[in-house]
Amino acid sequence: MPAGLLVVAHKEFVDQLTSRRFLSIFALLLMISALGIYGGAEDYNENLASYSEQLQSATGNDPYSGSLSEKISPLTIFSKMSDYIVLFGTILGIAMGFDLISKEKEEHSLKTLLARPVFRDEIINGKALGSVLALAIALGTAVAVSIAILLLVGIVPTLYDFGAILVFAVVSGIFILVYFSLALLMSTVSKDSGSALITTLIIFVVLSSVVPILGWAAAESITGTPPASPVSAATGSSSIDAGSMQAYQDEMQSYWAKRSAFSSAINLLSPDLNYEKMATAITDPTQAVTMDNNPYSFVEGPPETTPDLGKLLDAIWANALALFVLPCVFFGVAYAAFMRTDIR
Amino acid sequence: MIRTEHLTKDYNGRHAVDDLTMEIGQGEIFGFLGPNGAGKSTTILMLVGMIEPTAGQCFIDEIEVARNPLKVKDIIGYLPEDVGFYGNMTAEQNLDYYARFYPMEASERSKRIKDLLELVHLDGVTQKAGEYSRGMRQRLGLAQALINDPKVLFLDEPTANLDPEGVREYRDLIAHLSDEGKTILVSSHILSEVREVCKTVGLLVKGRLVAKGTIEDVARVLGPADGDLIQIVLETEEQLPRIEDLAIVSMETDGNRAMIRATSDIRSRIVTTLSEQGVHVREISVCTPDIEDVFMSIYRR
Repeated sequence: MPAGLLVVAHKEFVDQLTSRRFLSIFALLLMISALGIYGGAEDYNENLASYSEQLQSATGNDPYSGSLSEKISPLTIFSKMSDYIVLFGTILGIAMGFDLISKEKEEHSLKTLLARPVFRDEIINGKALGSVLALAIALGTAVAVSIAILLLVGIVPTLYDFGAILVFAVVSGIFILVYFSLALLMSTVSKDSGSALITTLIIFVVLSSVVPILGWAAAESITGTPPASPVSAATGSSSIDAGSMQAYQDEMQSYWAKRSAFSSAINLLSPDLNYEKMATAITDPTQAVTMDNNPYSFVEGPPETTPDLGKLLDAIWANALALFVLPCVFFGVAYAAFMRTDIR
Repeated sequence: MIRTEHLTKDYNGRHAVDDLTMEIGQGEIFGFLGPNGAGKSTTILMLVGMIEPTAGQCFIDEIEVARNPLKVKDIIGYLPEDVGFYGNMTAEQNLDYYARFYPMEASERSKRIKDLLELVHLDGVTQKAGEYSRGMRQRLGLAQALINDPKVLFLDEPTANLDPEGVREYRDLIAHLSDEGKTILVSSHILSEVREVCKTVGLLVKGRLVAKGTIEDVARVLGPADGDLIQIVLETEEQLPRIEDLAIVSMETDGNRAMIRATSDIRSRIVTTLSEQGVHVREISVCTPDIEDVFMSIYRR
């Protein structure tokens, strides 16, 4: 690894970990995650007690006990944590990146730095690397504290659960990286940190809130109005034949499937929706396979058994790809812009 | 040590530096003069490997800068006009960060930083760089430019923001560095500042090098070319008679003294004429055009 890259990365890492801004947001994330996990753990214990009761009834040959639901996974507790990460992770990512380059320009330290025997790409890569390491430590600490709380309240995750928690942490990290890389891009192309922050926040609002709404509206305008019901068409008539009704139902199903597909495709631009689906796939796979990537609806009810990995991947691969591609695109553009930055 | 060949840099179709060819020898203190926007800083940025030339080449110690910018940066020091630092770090921390980019052992690095902070009188200052005055920043700028003990030093407006005491110390430092055999290029638009420290100068106007040499040489070359007349100061033992010469444009006499404005240097003819009339010349000299005036006239072009 080039020496210059490591020097820059080391400085950036130390700067991030010692900055008041980072520490405040990190402390907040840690506190809220811990409280969320603690609350989730209590709910889990209550649900587990209820499950045990159901189990006892089932084994007691009670003919009225009904069907037994699947055992609750401790991973469900982490679904609450994902909500906090969407909010505080976004803030953390933006806070870490919005002045990474612009501050160097404002303080005129970039020219002094570039006078050293270091390539430009080592500077931006080093800054990104140092920040990503700091972020990894922050996220790793939050997850470690969450696991510690689980153990303290008597919930011992299985090896599978530990693996899933690790994947959850990685996916959460990638989600935060989306906004970090966006902020880094804006920091590179903006004249000052204030403009970089404002532009980042505007794009954040667009990606997280406007895209899902626009996605649904755009899908509606593309697919048109839903097919007319034979009931309203047959006003005045006393009977509707079964064939017409079946055709209408098929048409309606096809219409909603198409509309949902359009909406889902547009919503892939929203890191928040992609992350939510990924997080759900980890913490509650049965829900994830039925989500149509649209926050407002489910296509069908969740299956009764946990879907296998193949089915799960089939349901989330597009979201996973989109979540991974976005930070790559943002960083790629930031890299290209930084390499072409006019130093005068 | 520093060489440029037809160095050109265009910005938006305009020549910021236009076909610049010059050479600065080892150990020389070269003053880069010119009005604001003449292309001095752009030239320096190309010489220190921060921007690439549109055309031409530049070499530092025979290393082509555009091809080997990192090799060049290893042996140069650069003080930018608007030098900046990390405001959350002390002078020592800033210098330590910059020093880490060079192949220096920790002990060597530590000693170098200590020596440099003493040199620029920032030793014992515990403030963060963000709290520094402009003068302190400039002094720290000099220290960072020397962190790698460079062979060649580029100083862009080095006395900007320095108080008189700081300027004096800066001049002493330049003299000291010159004694060590370092080649120094000082860029400034202030003639008096360059005059104090530089042995040779180059005058850059609208991206072009219009003159190079000692300040007096440059002034002399540029003066007559500007259409100015030669001024001859004359003092005789006896009362001055009227002098007839076609080259004389005007002559102001005051007893045995005269100020003659002529189209060429006619001192020998004047001496001969006066000698024929039995008048003894006490002093006759060409009054060098005022250097400041010459440079100002160039700046205004």
